[in-house]
Amino acid sequence: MNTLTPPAPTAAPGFSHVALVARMKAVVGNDNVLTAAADMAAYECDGFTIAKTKPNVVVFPTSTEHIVGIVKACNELGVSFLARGAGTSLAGGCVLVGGGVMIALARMKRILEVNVRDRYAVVEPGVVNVWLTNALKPHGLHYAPDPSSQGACTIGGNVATNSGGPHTLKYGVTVNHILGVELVLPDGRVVICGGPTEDTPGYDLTGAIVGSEGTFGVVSKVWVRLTKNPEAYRTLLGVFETIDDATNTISDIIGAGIVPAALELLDKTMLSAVEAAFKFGFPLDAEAVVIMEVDGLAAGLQEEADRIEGIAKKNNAREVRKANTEAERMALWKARKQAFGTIGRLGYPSYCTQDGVVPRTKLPEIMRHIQATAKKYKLGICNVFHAGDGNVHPILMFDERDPLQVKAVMDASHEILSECINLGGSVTGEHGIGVEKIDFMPLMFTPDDLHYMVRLRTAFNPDSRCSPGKMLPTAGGCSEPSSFVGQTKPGRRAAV
Amino acid sequence: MELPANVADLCALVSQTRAAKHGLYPVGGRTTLDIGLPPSKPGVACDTTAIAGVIDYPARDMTITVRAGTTVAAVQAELAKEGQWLPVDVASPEKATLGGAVAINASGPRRLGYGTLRDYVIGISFVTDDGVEVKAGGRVVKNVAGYDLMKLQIGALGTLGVVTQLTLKVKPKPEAAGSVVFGCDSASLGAVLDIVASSKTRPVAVELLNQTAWRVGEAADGRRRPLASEQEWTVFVGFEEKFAAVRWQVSTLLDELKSAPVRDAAEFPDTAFCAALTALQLRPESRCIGKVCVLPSKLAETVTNLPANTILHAHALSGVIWSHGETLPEGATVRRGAGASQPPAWELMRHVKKTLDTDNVFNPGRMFAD
Ligand SMILES: Cc1cc2nc3c(=O)[nH]c(=O)nc-3n(C[C@H](O)[C@H](O)[C@H](O)COP(=O)(O)OP(=O)(O)OC[C@H]3O[C@@H](n4cnc5c(N)ncnc54)[C@H](O)[C@@H]3O)c2cc1C
Repeated sequence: MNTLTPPAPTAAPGFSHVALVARMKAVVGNDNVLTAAADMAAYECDGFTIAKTKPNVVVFPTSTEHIVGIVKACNELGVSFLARGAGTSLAGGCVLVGGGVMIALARMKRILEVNVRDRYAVVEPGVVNVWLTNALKPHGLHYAPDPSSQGACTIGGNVATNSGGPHTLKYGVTVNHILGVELVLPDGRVVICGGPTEDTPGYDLTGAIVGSEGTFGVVSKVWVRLTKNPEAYRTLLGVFETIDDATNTISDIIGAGIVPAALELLDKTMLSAVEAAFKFGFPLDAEAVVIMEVDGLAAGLQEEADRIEGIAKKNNAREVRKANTEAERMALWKARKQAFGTIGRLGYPSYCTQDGVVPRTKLPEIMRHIQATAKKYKLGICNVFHAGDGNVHPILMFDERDPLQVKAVMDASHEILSECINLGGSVTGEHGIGVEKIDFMPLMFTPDDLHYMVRLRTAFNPDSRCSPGKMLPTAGGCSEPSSFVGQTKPGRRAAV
Repeated sequence: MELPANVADLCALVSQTRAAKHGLYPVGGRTTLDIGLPPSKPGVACDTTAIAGVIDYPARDMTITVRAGTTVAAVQAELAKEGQWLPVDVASPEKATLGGAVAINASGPRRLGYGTLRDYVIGISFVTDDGVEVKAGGRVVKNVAGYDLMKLQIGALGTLGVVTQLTLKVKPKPEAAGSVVFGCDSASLGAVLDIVASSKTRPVAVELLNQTAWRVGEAADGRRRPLASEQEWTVFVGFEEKFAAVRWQVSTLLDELKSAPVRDAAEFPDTAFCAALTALQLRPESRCIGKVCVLPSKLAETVTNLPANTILHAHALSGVIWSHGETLPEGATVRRGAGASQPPAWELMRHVKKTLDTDNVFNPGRMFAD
């Protein structure tokens, strides 16, 4: 269902479709262009399925030169374009607002270099996150940011959205691991920012490009930092009778000065779905479990794990289980990372994953608010999230055939995110603003703040030809709601 | 020298300065004013130290929000009350302001283990060329709403506005510290650094000093470390962790070094030397101080080819070399002294500066010479 009202194109498309396709084929070859409507259906949206527009054409470059050729042709023809990785964005980052050329990077998937001594790798943007970590296994290294979608999402997409993951609590998010990028600017020039040596002089443009959601250009190559694998892990599963006990445990662990590798919470409803899918042996009567992992050197690690167990027990944990083998640990993480995929088992036709952040001591408050909101709107809500960072992911479940439920989901999402702001947090910890949350930007930032962000975008992307209609409200400084994304339905489901 | 008492005064000052077509030269603790290039137009210096103080310190969230004119020492003192710290080395912390540290992207030995300011600044406010205060980021540790203007300001040498407020992610202070110091000669330096790089231990600092730097650094530290003989190169390896982990790392490294071409390996019960090594980066007596960045694997080769009579010290596993002398070494990025190498994105950076500071109000000349 198309609920996205495309904006009136700034200028009537002055290009002929035939000419556009011919130009694209000339740049990348016939095999690397999709034009048939049926083939392009998969490219009209991403994991945020509410907003859809069909691109005019989908092209698959296999080199930086291809991207340059595509971008230059788009400029000549006056067509917008957008980079796409795996399309797992949950914020509508891949929606080509107003149509244009979709630059799909899936075929730029080579790991170009792994340098063990200097601890970096160079990859093309279409490399899937987990491929890199798999390639690094023999070297005792890994690429730290591990989004739950890591089996599908690309490094280019991670760079654009500044992805997090369970282990970014200790190791930091994507930007903390990106040393440099090669960027095709929206006018077709290629720049290299940063690189494998540290402290490149001048501005940290790499840091600004990471998280810019594809609005500064197309990332065509990435230098990533590699991290030594921890010598040892201790992975615990705290089982709690109440959500409050679970969130208080998390607050107390952080408050005690322990920085675990990961602290992930799954609530009762989520557990029932995950258990049905994976038969892990989760307790189905508990209100919440918390995966608590510490890692690092073996020396002193057990003592740290014991302290965590003590804190959980002090907060009335019914039981603290331990992963005793690597196989048990991997099984637990598989259950966590594939939790989204099991939601279908809860019997709701549709669901919408939200992404908000609160200061971590405010977790008990926001969880109570989420429960109360679910009750108020008579919605099913389940939770699985990066608790140690205060990054909540309430999943609102509903039947999209019932317009009342749909409205309830929209209103409930809005209430929850507004409460995140009230508690001193943010409306997105990792999924991004995309088209989904543009209307929240004026609630978090002043017109002056937004105006300055527009100025920065102008330095890279002066006419917004690259990924138009994203991240910043159209008028930039004005707090009027964005004009072109009429959301009448929440996003249904994640794509993985 | 202007001394705005608050952000509103600062905004007014920026607007006046811009209207007068002058430059505004923000000044913090005056510890690094000789870094970068000289001013390119007349203008006013603007002392930011009155815009100081802690705004909010929710210790259990491990974040702190402070005004940018607060000294680094004051921030650390506040954090120490809760057993926390900002694990970034800043020279002259009693004088240096946090805003100044951000502007020059201050760092030191501990960058190896803890990263740099870009890993800690999660929120920022600054006054723009329009004379308004804008913000980005926020007060939570994870947040991707809006562009990351924090990164843009870190290391910008104050050329993109006057930073007024910063929110930092902070860390619990490590339980224990310890270090291992040893010497080696030029011929085996490469092999020795390879051994340290592949060690089972996880040091927070691996510092390399030539003889001249060792003498100066040690004198500054004020506590002689009894090295049996003068070494061509001295390597300092610092550990900060839980007690058991520090003990294990010190003895493991000493074991690993047994068969290595090193001399006089000795153990020390702290990492206090990091402070002296950080101060060395801004040694007042040095005429030129250049920073050379190379791949860590190329560091030994690079330092052994630099003149030995200069003071040379390096964050060895980060590939960052400091060289003090009469001239800057080739390829140096500017610290003190003229001339600097320019990265490939230099033109884009100039364009960013032009777009965000149209009339070149903030520290004109300092980064781009014009
Ligand atoms: C089941 C599931 C679990 C998830 N878990 C997490 C999680 O734990 N943490 C997290 O952070 N996110 C998570 N996400 C969200 C999503 O996976 C991430 O945002 C991911 O980084 C997107 O990568 P992608 O390759 O799919 O990018 P896409 O969805 O294809 O694109 C995302 C954005 O990046 C831009 N982009 C992509 N490639 C480039 C490029 N080369 N140059 C410039 N711009 C580009 C696009 O234009 C778009 O704006 C999850 C999503 C799903 C479906």
